[in-house]
Amino acid sequence: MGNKHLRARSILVDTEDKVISRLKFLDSEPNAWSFSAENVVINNRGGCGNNWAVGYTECGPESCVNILEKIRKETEKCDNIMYFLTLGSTGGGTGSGFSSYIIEAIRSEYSHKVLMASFVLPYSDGDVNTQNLNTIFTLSKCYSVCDAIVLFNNSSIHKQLNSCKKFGYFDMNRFISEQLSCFLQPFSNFSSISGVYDILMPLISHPQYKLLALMANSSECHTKFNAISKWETLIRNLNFKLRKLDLPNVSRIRDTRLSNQYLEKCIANLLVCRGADSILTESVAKKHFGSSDYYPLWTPKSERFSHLYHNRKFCDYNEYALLVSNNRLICKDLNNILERGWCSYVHNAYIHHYKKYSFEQEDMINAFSKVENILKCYSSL
Amino acid sequence: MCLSCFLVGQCGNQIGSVLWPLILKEYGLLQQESDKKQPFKKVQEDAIHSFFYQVPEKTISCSLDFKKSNLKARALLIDMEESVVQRFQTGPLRDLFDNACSLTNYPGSGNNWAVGYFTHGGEQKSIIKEMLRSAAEKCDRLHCFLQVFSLGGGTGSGLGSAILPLLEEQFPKVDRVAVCVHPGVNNDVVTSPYNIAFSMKKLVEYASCVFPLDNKAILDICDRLGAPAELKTWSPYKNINSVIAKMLLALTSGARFPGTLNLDISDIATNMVPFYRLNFLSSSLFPIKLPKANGFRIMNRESEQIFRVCAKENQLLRIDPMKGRLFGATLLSRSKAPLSDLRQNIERYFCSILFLLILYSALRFSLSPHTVIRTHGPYTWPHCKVFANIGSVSIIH
Ligand SMILES: Nc1nc2c(ncn2[C@@H]2O[C@H](COP(=O)(O)OP(=O)(O)OP(=O)(O)O)[C@@H](O)[C@H]2O)c(=O)[nH]1
Ligand SMILES: Nc1nc2c(ncn2[C@@H]2O[C@H](COP(=O)(O)OP(=O)(O)O)[C@@H](O)[C@H]2O)c(=O)[nH]1
Ligand SMILES: [Mg+2]
Repeated sequence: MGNKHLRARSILVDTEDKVISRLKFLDSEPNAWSFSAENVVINNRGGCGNNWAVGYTECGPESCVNILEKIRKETEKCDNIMYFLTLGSTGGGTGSGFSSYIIEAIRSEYSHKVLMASFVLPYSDGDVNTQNLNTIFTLSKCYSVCDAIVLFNNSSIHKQLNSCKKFGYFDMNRFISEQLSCFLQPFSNFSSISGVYDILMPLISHPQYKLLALMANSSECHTKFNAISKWETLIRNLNFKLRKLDLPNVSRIRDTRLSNQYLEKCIANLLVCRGADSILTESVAKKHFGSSDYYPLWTPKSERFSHLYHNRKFCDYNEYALLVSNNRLICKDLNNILERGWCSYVHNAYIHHYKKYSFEQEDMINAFSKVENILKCYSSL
Repeated sequence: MCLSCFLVGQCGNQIGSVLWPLILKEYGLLQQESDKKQPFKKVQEDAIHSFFYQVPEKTISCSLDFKKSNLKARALLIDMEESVVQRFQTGPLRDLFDNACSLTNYPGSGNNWAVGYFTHGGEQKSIIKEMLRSAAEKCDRLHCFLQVFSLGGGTGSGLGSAILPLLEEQFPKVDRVAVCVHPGVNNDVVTSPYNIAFSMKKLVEYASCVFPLDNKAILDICDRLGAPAELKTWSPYKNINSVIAKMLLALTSGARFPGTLNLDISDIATNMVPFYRLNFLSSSLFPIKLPKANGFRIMNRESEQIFRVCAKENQLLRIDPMKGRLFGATLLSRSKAPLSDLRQNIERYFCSILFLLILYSALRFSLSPHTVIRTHGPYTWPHCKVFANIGSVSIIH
């Protein structure tokens, strides 16, 4: 890159300026990177008030043309657009409602490009009072237009980070970003012009199943164990995450025939290993994820499991293994959200905020039934 | 993002006279000659448009004096008497308020809600509309109206409740936050029960959310903090008003300053009002430090503060939130405590209490940790605050 200054190929959208004003825009150091100030769209109204309808019915239509124009300019600078990726949360109003609108607009503008949305689900024990309604409305709008939706759950991230003493949103965001970038960066055993599309294709082979979950496991310190056994531990731990959670001590069950009964059904799995010697992990990976017990009979054998690697060290980790999975585990979150969402809805709680922005009862019922349908598909796997 | 602050009636204006110096201090705009000059922080500069505008329009110079940088408050001073508003116009803050922003009249409302609502509300309607329009014009992004008044008197309650429908009509999408002072058990105005009842009806209908504050509850807090006795006699409301002013600063801090999790006023209005008309929120504040109070305490640990802020004795209303049923609670913390600690403490202390939460509020609480804005000496206080919506607050139809 020489002494070039790097600009992030990204567009920043918000409904108030306090967050964006703290980001990095100007950096004159060589090899430094920054966001581009031209790519900022702030529909400044002091936030959406955690109200999906404000984002979707007010901000969306107001700023959509402007945003599409920025996207057009940005895409003109690329010789080949591989995919669009959106980042946001489903708990608030901007990340959920505003981005639902933009995602729909991008889909109608670029109907043949891969569109991948990634959302942070709110803490399941409470974060924002309207979070469940917002999440349901977002999923219902995005599910039909996106090719894939990557979901992160703040509660489970919180649980995984709990081992380090103190952390804030910054650390949670780094955790998420590492997983995403591990997934989306180049691999050594895979190169294709269409890039992400070919990797993504097996994961989303059925249009009813689009929810992807990322799980990572890494080792930082140098240990005496040789690389292979370290990789083996990482991969085995990932494998345990695919077992049914409510059964105690599944990991203790030795008999593989028995233990396979406790596997969660998956549409497809992708294992990414980054770090030294990751080239040697192929057989271990096959052993853990190749079993046909994971997959419903109708999934094509060749599409079920893929394994990708790169020998370069990833971030500060010596070994970093990431499992991208389209599986039944998501039912738990969806069920939780729907249950609480219905609860607010039948008591008519918070509904008047949405009606004020002309999002009516009918639309809500529609949204609920769409998400119920997603849940039904996954739980019937 | 702009907040427009209306001070109505004697009480509203007296609270304003304590509030504005605190705001100026928070932005580092009020410095005595003796103080060492402190640099103007970027957070302060970014946030300055929330409560101030500048005449004539020019970029804010880094002057630490509101007079030199030509700043004016986004405030309307409305009273049907002259004495209190006059004190603003002659006092040290006189340059802060534009003359067109104050409205006075003679005679007052005589503690009669009907005089405030019908007589003054009718006569002054067009003038007030014009004032609202020009106030809104000066804001590039109007975020919320903050209206401060008392329920006991005539002007604040009567004219104050006449202004709310005007706001709703002209700015239907802007939140209207009413902060109203309830006389409490030491009732000093004979007609106050009527005045309270009549204005409650309007508040239920026209305000996005209402923060009732009880004079007696706050007085008890001041007594406990050991406010000097003589202050109580010659200026009975001084300490009470400074508690209210601090509550207002904390309430709006999420909208003014960046934090780890952003909490705007509209977020509060959405999250804490599950049903149309159930819009009365209780509030509490901890720790509170009064100027010139002699009993001075050692700062508590963060975990303890979270516990204390929910305790009965720190409520600005005379209620016990632990004994009621909550629709939801928001904890707003201005401290450097990391998210993990806050969540952990909340889980620890709230598990026992929050089973009382009514089920459909789906969740436990809204949590918004704000990083402390380290600026000017005595006014950085590590600071916790809970807004809890109590279902037992009854509505008068
Ligand atoms: N992981 C993670 N979650 C976040 C972060 N910031 C907010 N959240 C979560 O997002 C939800 C709140 O949504 P926000 O993104 O703050 O809201 P918004 O999209 O800006 O919408 P409005 O504030 O209503 O305009 C909550 O569930 C938070 O837990 C973050 O930096 N990292
Ligand atoms: N907290 C507080 N309450 C006040 C203050 N001034 C008056 N009150 C209360 O407000 C009520 C009287 O209303 P007031 O504002 O004087 O009447 P108005 O000017 O006609 O609205 C009484 O219940 C007082 O206790 C004040 O400065 N602070
Ligand atoms: Mg926001």
